[in-house]
Amino acid sequence: MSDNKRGRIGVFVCHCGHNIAGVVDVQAVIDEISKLPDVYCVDHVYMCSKSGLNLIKEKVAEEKLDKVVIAACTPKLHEKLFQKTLEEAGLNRYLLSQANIREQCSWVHKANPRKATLKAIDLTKMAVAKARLLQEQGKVEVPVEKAVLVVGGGVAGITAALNLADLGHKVYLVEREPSIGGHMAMLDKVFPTRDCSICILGPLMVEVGRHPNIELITYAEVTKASGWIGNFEVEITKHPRFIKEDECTGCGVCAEFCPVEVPSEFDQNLGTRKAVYLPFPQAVPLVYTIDPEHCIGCRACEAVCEREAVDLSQKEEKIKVKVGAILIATGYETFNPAEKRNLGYGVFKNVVTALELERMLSPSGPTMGEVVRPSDGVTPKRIVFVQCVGSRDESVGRTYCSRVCCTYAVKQALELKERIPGAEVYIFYQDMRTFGKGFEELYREALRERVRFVRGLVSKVVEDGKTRNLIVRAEDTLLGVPVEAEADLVVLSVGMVPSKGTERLLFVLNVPVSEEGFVMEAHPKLRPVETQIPGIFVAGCAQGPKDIQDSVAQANAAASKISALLSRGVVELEPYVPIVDGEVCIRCGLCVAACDKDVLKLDKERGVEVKGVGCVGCGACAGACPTGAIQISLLSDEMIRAQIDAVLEEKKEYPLVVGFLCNWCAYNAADMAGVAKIQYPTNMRAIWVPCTGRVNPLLILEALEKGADGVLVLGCYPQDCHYRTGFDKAKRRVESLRELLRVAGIDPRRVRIESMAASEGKKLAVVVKEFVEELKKLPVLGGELVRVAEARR
Amino acid sequence: MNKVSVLLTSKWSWKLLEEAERWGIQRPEECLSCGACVGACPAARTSSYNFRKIIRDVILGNEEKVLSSREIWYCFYCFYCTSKCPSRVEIPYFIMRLRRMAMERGYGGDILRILVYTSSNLIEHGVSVLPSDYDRMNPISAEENMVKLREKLGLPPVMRVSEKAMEELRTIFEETGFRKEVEGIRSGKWPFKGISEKY
Repeated sequence: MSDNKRGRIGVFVCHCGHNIAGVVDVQAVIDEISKLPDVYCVDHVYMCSKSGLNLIKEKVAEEKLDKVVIAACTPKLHEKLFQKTLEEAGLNRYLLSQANIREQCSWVHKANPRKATLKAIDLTKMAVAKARLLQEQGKVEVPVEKAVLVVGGGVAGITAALNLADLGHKVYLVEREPSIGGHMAMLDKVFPTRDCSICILGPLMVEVGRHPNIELITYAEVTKASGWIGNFEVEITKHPRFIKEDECTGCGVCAEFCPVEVPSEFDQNLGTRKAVYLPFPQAVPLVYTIDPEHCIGCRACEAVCEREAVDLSQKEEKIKVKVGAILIATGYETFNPAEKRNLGYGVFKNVVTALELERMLSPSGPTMGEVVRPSDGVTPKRIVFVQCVGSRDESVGRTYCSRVCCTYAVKQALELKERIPGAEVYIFYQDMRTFGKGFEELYREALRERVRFVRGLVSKVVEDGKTRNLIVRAEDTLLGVPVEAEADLVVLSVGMVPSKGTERLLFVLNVPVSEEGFVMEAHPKLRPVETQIPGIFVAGCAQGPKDIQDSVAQANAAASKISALLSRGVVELEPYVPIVDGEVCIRCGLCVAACDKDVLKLDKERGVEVKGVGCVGCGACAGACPTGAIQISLLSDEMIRAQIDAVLEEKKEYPLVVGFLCNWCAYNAADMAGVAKIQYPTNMRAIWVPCTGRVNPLLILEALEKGADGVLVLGCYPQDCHYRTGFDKAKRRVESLRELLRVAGIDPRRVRIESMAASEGKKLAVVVKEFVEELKKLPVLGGELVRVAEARR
Repeated sequence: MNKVSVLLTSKWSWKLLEEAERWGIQRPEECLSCGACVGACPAARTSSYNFRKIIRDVILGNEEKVLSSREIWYCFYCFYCTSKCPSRVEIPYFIMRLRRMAMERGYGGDILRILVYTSSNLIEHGVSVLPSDYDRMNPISAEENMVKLREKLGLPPVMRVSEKAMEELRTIFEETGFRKEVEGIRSGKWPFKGISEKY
């Protein structure tokens, strides 16, 4: 394994029927490639067919091949299939290199078979050059700790915890509040069935409290985490509740005697609680908590507690756990409507949030289920709902739809219609988005019950100082007339925003978040419950606004993913570890600064060290290294250099462009151009990179020095970057490099960086075409280089 | 154009919807404002008749605006709207009731005068539009007209309806109260005021 450089390489060129062979002269490719040393070259009509795969296996044995190059379609299509074939042939699957001569050659250069053939030869030569440097990669297998940490005790966390515990896994469930239950425990009824929320959640909460496999840690937060998939070490800080959890029976005598009354957070400050309190009657654990912020230290509670459960000397506690996986289920917070000053929340007493109304509707709430005006306690007869408060609103930085407000407003409207005879209910909306199963039916029911829906976003709420009634102003966009409504009570349908707890936790766990602050999934469609950090999962509203149904579904999905991981017992890690040459490392620390994942550590003595297995293989470290001391196994500097050399030892085009194409966007865009048969000039030779952040500017210089007429660095749009900041880094580096080139007397137009989406095949074609046109207008690079050399002398 | 904000909550009224309910007219409150009715409506193509807007006002309780409008008189009951309605609102029946309510409040007089004329023809001759009416509305040419043409051809001045058919019609008009209604309108039983275009 140590030195496979001299290994024999088998090159398999695919015709793909007429798809490749119709444009590219396959025989010419074989003739050219066969001239390379230690290479055996053969073709097949369909390399991916059974007979094609058998040919590979046969030839590996017959010709004693050590490595395989396949010149065919994009690796995105059949890489896994060919890797498997290599394994069946007895080779390590990482000893495969592919040349994309279909999507990025024959399909896009139909009009020029001669040049397409030359490009196919170059692409294959590049793949051979890379193959010579490929090394076997062992499977990295690590054992998995058979326990899971669930952070957040809302309905998502509860569901996942129970599911995992029932499957026999040890679960640590951490909740920030004194009780689990989350927002769902606050709700009166839940849509679309309008069943009592706590009646369906309560039993699950009790089960969590009782389950032998669940260790419930409430009033606590995750404060530190390290390790990697299968082996996380987590520190949980448990706040003192000044009541012994094992002793307290929840009898409540302490609260009876407590003289301090403060607003109850659980009741959205509409009701009060004592300084020693249970947030709500169904709380789990059924244990009182002393709130140190408001306790006056009179010790009345201590005096009356028969079980001597009060312990005012309790200290903060650090709990350390080892787990194989972490589930983020930290939920959401409601948008603070005071940010929308035009709606008068916090100024006009009779403007309330939907969650406050929900507490009023709850029979165990501050008003025992009576809906009243906060200003005078009178039952409101005219109620106006204002939709999209903190949703779909750029002015408060919330562009997304919160997905639940339409349906909950409809539910609350129906509830009000039922409970207040003769109530007039208006819902001012932008669009009614009652999309779920049974939701539209609920909307219809509200229409039948004569809830009045007015299409138009509310512009302003004003108060009549005398009556404390409110005037709501909007346009009825369906009639095209400005309208006003006088209301006794205005309810703001507040949207969902990421909770502060989520924010802190994500910082601790180093999990990427989306622009809105919700957890970013590994893939928005295909891997919705995995985060971008292996072993860390997400469920519920921490991932984005969603209703209870979806939260539960996601929690179950996450539980099954986690269970699969824990049950397997071992986890195979991608060979993504950066390799550092301590001899070459100059201890500059640039790589450490470039790494978002915090896997590198600078030791002044020993150089840069790799801390753990958080590496995602983006290569930003190697892109930053000035000496080439740090390398990623996926694509070393040497491999890139070998490809550049393979193209430039015999320049087949003018101008010749070396392209660095990001795996996630530009490479796919190039494939898309192929699929859509968008034609563009043949001049570019593409080098696949995991991220544009991998591209070390020294390599760009090297390409120019060796004779490339221009270099294109093509990546994602900054906000789409798979590694969040990779493109930004590349952009900064290329900008600086251009400045440097200008100073050195080389036209900076020879290097360009562009963003494109994976779907933008057209853009890729345009960029290449324009770049080639521009290069044609410039004088030959040789002249510039000569001048630079002369100046140096 | 109505430039002043409409204060929705000041004149809450379910009267129009209650009337619909009383007459068993299905689902007007379930209108989703999709506009399929207006897209289908032949009258909407050539006039300001827009049932979607009418029902918005009905639901918001803008009673007077709806009943005093000329537009509720533009429907001619082709039922194409209802056949296209995803909420299956029985629009033409509702329009019938709205007209009735409008009449009770004194609206629709000028349109009814035309209808009373054609209705009187129907009661008297068994046909609603007479040859002389064609000539008034749409003469063949300056010299030629329907009455003259009929004379030339030896036809009676008015189309002849058989006595048997007339007998049937008379029974229907009596039993349904149609004759009495028309006479009532003609004799000024309804306190008509003017109407105007609202949509």
